Amino acid sequence: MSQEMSLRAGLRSSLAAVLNSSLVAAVLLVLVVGFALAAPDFVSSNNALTLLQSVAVIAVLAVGQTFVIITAGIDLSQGAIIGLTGVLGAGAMGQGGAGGILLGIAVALLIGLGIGLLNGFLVAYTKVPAFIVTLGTLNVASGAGLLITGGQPIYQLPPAFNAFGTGAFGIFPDIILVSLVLAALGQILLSRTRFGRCVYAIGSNRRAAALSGLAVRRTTILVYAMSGLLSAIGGVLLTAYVNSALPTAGENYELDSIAAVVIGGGSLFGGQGTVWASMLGVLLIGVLANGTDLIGLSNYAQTVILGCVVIGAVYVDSFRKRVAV
Amino acid sequence: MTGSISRLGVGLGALVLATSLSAPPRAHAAPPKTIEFIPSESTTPYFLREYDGIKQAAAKYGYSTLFRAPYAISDVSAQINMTDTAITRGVAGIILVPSSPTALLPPVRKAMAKQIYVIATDSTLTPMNAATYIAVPNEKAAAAAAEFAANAVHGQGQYAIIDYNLSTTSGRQRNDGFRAGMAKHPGMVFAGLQLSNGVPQTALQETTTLLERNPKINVIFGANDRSALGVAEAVERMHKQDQVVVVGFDADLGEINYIKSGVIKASVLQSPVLMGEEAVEALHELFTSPGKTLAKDTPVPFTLVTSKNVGDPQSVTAIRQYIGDYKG
Repeated sequence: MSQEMSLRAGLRSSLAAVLNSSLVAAVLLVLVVGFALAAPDFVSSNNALTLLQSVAVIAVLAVGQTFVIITAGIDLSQGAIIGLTGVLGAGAMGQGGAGGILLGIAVALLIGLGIGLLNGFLVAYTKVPAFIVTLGTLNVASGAGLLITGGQPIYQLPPAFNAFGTGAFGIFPDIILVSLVLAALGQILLSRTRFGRCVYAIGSNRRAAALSGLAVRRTTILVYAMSGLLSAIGGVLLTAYVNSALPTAGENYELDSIAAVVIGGGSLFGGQGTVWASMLGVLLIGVLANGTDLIGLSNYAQTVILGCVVIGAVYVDSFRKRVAV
Repeated sequence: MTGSISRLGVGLGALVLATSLSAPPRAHAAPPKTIEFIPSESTTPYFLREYDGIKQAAAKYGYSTLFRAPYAISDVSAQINMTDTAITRGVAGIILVPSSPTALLPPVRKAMAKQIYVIATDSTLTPMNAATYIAVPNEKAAAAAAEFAANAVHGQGQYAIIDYNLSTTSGRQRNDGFRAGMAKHPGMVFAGLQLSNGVPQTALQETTTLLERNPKINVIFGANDRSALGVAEAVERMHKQDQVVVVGFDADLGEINYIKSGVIKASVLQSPVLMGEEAVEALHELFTSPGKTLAKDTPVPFTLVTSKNVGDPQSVTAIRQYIGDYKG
């Protein structure tokens, strides 16, 4: 009996997930066609690459945020980690050659991983909600970045590093390739491994997951550590792309990554979401920003539209919840 | 249920269709040249006035204009993407306020290579790859404010700076220029620098903390309109307008009122409308004589408006650059 109920719930959940992803894909298609008709330049290869480049960093963040949100958590510190790791990495890089670049990247990734581990530890072992924990580390990281640099940007970066940030492999810009590879790895980790199943189980019912003998705390720590590490990778990519590091460079990026996951069907209540659907959410944000820009819609209107889309996505999420009950 | 989903999809589809229909038609034989203005921040009154100047001058030649800007000055990546999109859109010219002297170089070079002329205003590029750079000499103007303030306290005391950022060249030059001006007065000691990120409330809090921590500070420089406004509010709330000389850069109505009431003793006023007009003039020159080389720097004049000369015709003219209907 219970097996049958569980199967039915599983089917409903899968149906809801497919429904949602299909809806996002359909909306994306409608937008692409609409913008292509209104502004033929929208479908030019140059513009497609500009669009993808503009969301590459958000995509990397959204991979980490997807894992966090599936566990019913949230990571508000991502943008601050971008800023801090960007300036610390750039500082460590100095004007050095390949050695300096690798040192800078290593420093950035270690700092990101460290903050992520701290977030995970606090969420897993204290009763403090993830929202508060990561809000705290957001402030600590952004304050530390400003403190260390005195608010000053770092401009003198090794030319090879910037060449990577603005370079391309064939026609594909490097930073897009990195984000695609990370998204693919994230999706495999989430859907094909025991760790991924544990992430879903924690988000669906933390207590049940613990009672089933799953390593809830360890998984939670790993999920936040991953988000911190991916944020640091985002920091490295952004620094290379803009050829400078600024302590406030990642301001509000976490909001875009959360929006992307939610648009992609990730439930803030946990247990739902996939990396590839979050990538659809990232694309939707990018297409909206780029398309409305090309057809000459005002900046301010763009933000209003994005806000409406996020609310629409949350509405679909709550509607889906009602279907599943 | 599925009906609700369909409605949402249809709603978004309709939105796209509506925006498609409202978009300007593209297929006319000779569409007007479009000039896109991309400042470093979308809500700074100074840039909105510069855009007024751009629109006025563009209307004279029949050019159409567009305004795009990131919400935060720190969002360098957004400004790069906007410049790339302007190139894709095929605008004829771009007037840019670079949020970073180096990060905007790739799209600027790309635009210039496609004969989409780029004019840098207010902040420059390193190296200066745009067609020309139009701005007030920020260092010189900030040094003039420093000279005024140092004289007002007889060359003795401590000074602090509330800058809006150090990521733009204008932010750095104003900081450097003010400190260079103060360096000519050995009795003036540097007491600290804080960044407001262009938020008056932040400038207010920073100023309050600075003055509570160090009551010897008798000069504070707010390096842009938002910063100076916050500084003035803090000084007034602490009733220190007689002990602290506040000098600023730029002006809005709030700041002008503070200049009139004597809380702000002086402010360097630029010419945002003129800057916008000159940028369009430069583009017009390039449109009509393609390949022409312009001077790398085009300085725009500045005026030091003080609480004593605020009513003078010259000051009123300078204030009108910021507040179009200012009556004096």
